[in-house]
Amino acid sequence: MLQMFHVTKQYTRDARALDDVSLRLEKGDFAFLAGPSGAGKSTLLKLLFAAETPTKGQIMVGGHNIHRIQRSSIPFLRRNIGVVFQDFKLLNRRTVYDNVAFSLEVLGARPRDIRLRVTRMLRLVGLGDKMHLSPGRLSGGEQQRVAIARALVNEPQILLADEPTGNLDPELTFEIMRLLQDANTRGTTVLVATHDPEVMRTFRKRVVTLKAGRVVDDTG
Amino acid sequence: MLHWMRYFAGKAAQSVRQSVVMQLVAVTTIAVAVLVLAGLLTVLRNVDRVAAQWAHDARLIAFLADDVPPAELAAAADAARGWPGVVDVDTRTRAEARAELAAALGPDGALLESVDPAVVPASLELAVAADHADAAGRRALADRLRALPGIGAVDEVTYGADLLERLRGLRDLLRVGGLVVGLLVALAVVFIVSNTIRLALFARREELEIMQLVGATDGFIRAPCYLEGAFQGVAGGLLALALLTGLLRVLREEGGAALGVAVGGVPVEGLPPGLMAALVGGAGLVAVLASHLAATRFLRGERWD
Repeated sequence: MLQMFHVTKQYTRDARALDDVSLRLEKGDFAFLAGPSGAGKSTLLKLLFAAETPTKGQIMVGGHNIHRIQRSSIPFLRRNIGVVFQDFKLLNRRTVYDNVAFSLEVLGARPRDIRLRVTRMLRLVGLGDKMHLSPGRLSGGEQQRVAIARALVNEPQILLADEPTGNLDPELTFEIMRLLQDANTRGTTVLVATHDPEVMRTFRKRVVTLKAGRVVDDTG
Repeated sequence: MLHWMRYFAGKAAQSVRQSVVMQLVAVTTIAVAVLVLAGLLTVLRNVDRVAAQWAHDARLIAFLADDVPPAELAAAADAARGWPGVVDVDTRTRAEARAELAAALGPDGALLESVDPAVVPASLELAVAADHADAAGRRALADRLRALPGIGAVDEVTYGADLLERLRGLRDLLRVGGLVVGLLVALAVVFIVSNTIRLALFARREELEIMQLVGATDGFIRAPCYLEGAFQGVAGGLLALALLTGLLRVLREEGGAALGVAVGGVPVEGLPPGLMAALVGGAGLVAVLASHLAATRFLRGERWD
């Protein structure tokens, strides 16, 4: 499902954000991407959803070589990838419902389908009664649940989460992680970047550890 | 398809609502730019019409050096009537011309008594057919007039050719000017619309980043921008034409007489509907092009920080 072959990403001549990274995730896998800040976790995720291009190496996502696909095909690749960020990236001037519906609107889904699927997804993440509120009026954990609902509503094959619990307290952290685990149970391949050892200990999944842009450990 | 159109129109309307002042400034500026072009085209059209009218009403007048007896003048007129391109011939002896001038002067006609009779010459006036009214045709008739036997020396032949040629020169100059102004207007529209759209996109950058994140194509993001640009262009074009129509009405009502003299008695006309539609459509198309440029520049700067 996800494969990286000797990938290097260099922003400046001296600094390598990623250095000769190889990684493979099969369909339905769940893995943590661990490492301290600046280790290259976010860069690796950005490469996977084609927000960045690698300096060297090849990346395969769902059978497509990211290096070879045209710029105009990137949106279609992203429709198979849900992305969750630490800062949620929600629109506070829209309702919770609108934020989630966004993912389906860009696919050209019919309003009736959008209504059904968004309502079902918001109920699944426990926000069925808050869909008409602005995200700004929700707690951090609830806002992250909205972001997860948005990432999952069009049933992507892959879910990438960049420090999804970085701004949350321990109780909410486990709530969010359980949602990601549920998505994985339904067949979605999940890759979560985190530097929280407690999360990795609790959920006992494969851990790929990055340090200074290199993979230094892989429990898989 | 209808669903998409409704969605894009809704997004465009939302963007317009979110920046009403900016939209007004853009539409007004486009209107002023289009008004300049439309005004120039109106002047060009009326100069064209005056030139055509003058060419159609072309008359050649031969002022005679000597006072030719009426019988000889009539014989000369009869001869001229047979020339190709001559529609009608009119004659005036010195006495008739003097009487006409005195009548035109009215109470001041008495002044003529102290003037040398030779100052008001006898004349032979030819009305020329439209197909002989070009410069070459008129020149040929003038030469034949000069060679006409029995009427003595021809002091001067006047046929308004210089004025007509100058008018045609002015028309050509206006055409070139129109092209230059048209180009400048197009550039102005591109500049205004692209900047307005860029500002609107910048204001919506978070939303657009998320749209890209969830798989929106560039075309999906651009479509509402095209509609917004088209709205600005078409609204600006319509406003310009409304202003021009109003301006022409005021000119006709308030300065009708002066304007009539200025354009040789030819009533001033506005632009034909086809040209007006082309101006509005052109402004809309140029604005859509500007939206495309602005959206492309914005989308190239995609970031995920």
